[in-house]
Amino acid sequence: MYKIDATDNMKELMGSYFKSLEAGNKKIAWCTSVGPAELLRSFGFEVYFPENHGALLGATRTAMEFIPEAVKCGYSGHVCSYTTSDIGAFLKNETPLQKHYDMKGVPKPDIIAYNTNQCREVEDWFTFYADHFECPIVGIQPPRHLDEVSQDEVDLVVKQFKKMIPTCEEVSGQKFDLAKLKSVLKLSKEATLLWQQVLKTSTAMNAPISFFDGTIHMGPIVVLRGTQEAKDYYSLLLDELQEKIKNNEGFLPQAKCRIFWEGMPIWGKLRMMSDLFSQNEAAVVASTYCSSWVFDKFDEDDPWNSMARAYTEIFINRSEKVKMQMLRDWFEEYSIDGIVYHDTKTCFNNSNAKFGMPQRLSDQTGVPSLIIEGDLCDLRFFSEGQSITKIETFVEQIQDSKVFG
Amino acid sequence: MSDSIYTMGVDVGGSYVKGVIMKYDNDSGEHKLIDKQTEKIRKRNPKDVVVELVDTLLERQNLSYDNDIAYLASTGEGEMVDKKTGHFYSMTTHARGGIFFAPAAKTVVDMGGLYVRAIRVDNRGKVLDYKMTGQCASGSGQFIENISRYLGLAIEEVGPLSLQADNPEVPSGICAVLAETDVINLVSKGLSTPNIVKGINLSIAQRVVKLLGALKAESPIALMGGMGMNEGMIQAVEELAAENKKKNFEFISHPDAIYSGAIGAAIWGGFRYYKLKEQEAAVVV
Repeated sequence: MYKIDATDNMKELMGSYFKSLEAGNKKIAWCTSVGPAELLRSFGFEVYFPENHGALLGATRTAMEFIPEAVKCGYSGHVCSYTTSDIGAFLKNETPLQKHYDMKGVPKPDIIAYNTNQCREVEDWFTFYADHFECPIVGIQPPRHLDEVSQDEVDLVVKQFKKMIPTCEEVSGQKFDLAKLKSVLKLSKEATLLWQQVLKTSTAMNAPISFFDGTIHMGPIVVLRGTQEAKDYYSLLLDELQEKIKNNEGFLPQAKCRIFWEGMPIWGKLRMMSDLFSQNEAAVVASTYCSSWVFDKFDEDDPWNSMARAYTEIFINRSEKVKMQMLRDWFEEYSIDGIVYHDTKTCFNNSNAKFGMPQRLSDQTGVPSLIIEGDLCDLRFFSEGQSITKIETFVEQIQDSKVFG
Repeated sequence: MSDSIYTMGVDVGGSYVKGVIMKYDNDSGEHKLIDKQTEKIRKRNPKDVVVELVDTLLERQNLSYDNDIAYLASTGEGEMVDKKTGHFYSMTTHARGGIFFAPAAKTVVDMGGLYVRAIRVDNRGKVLDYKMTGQCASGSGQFIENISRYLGLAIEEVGPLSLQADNPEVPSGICAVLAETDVINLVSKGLSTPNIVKGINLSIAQRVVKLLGALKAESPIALMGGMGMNEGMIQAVEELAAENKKKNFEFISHPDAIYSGAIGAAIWGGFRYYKLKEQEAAVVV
């Protein structure tokens, strides 16, 4: 059976990360997953990511128990189910961290930081906690949906980054240190480039890492970006995957077609989805989601500009024109035969199937598309039977057209 | 001596199991429907229903599974068919079944218990493109079954009653639960049963016509699947499609439309049987 050995190291690394949050040695900053983690780490904060917790609530299929608690407080069941499940779990004082990482609960924040480069929901979500804990909250609100990110926009975001400094200094008790920021950013860049190489190993026709594996292995690039541990982990993982390519060892050697996954994972159905595609001999080799943590513009010699640019240029924050170009490039790079769009019911911002992009992109590229409806956490929005029928049909059509033209 | 074989197709759906015996003449290339049978699953184990259905068909035709059936092909929930020789995905089988009933069809619409699917096909029944309804059950045959149950109707009555409507009212076509609430309202408002069922047929027909538009469907269009036997639905689809002045769609239906999946499976089974035979012969040579 195909196995990525580094998975054990990853589990250990994630375990020690969660333990460090409870060690009490450092002050705690809460941060969005594509947020200013490097700046926070430069002040010596231990960084906790509520989105990672949201994914855990989804993967453990506990989200549905908690969402109604948030709905009781006035949060609609149709807004981000990371937000509603996370707030609901907090209100019930329950978390899978207790069972899986032996933690008492989520760590108490000393400061909260967000970046609305992905959505405005993160600001609403984090403000709930800032109010609850009466703790300072700082944020970045970059311009959204741009074709090109000009220096004017970068300057604006740099100002917003710098505006965070006084609050960070006050909470951490440390003066801002540019050298520290540079060193954290260097580590972050090195890890993120390694992660990019990890993902690119699946450009090999016998791909060694699937989208579904990627959603597990991306843990450290989300929560440990800017640390030596993350860099070491991706170095280890990359070595193993490159070795697999050398040995022509892939996760689905008999794959008859290569699929791109667009949108959020359906966390509670990762295994089911992975098995479904495998049984139908379709390899899901690339995604926008896993690529969201590739910040290749980071440059420790120009920290402010490069951070501002990297965090503003992420896929989710771009115009449709740029998104389509990025997708076209990925189709070519990964030799994609078909794209599956996950129309995520509670994540409007990360669903690209609502304004006709699938049709337009298929017309331009000839790459067929499928839209499946579901959700990142709330499985009440997901119909397994319908999704199976749709995916089987889609894959069959692709394979048929590859054989018969 | 003519080279012909018997094949069987079994289509396990959400509500019914449909089975057929077909005869294929390899010389003339002609497929003939020999026998057909439908069983409602109700609360039974679908596997048992399949066994019963296959046995009934074989017994009625005095055929033996081991000696006479060259290929038993499953489609739909194939894992429920223990005796299958092979499985075919349901879109392929419905497309082929549609061509069996309407050889000139360029589009096949599978209107089943769980969803509606519009498929563009070539003259061999090969799938060129398709569009499916989304998640909500308001676009499915099961929805009509539920509503007919509330109204105290047998499913067979829905079509003829719908034809008697004179002033139908269309419920929500977005959500099955809202639509059911709408229907309860319509009953309490005293709307006649024909007008209610016609309204339901129209709400599903709206989704069918939208799918045809999205697919850029071409005529003739074969209306297949269980709902293809509901003449009220056919009428509703025709009426709504006629409102689109740009396209002059021609629809073809058939009283045995529910068997399109099973027939398509049996036909593809025969095709695969001869392919395998050819491969075996090549190996021997």
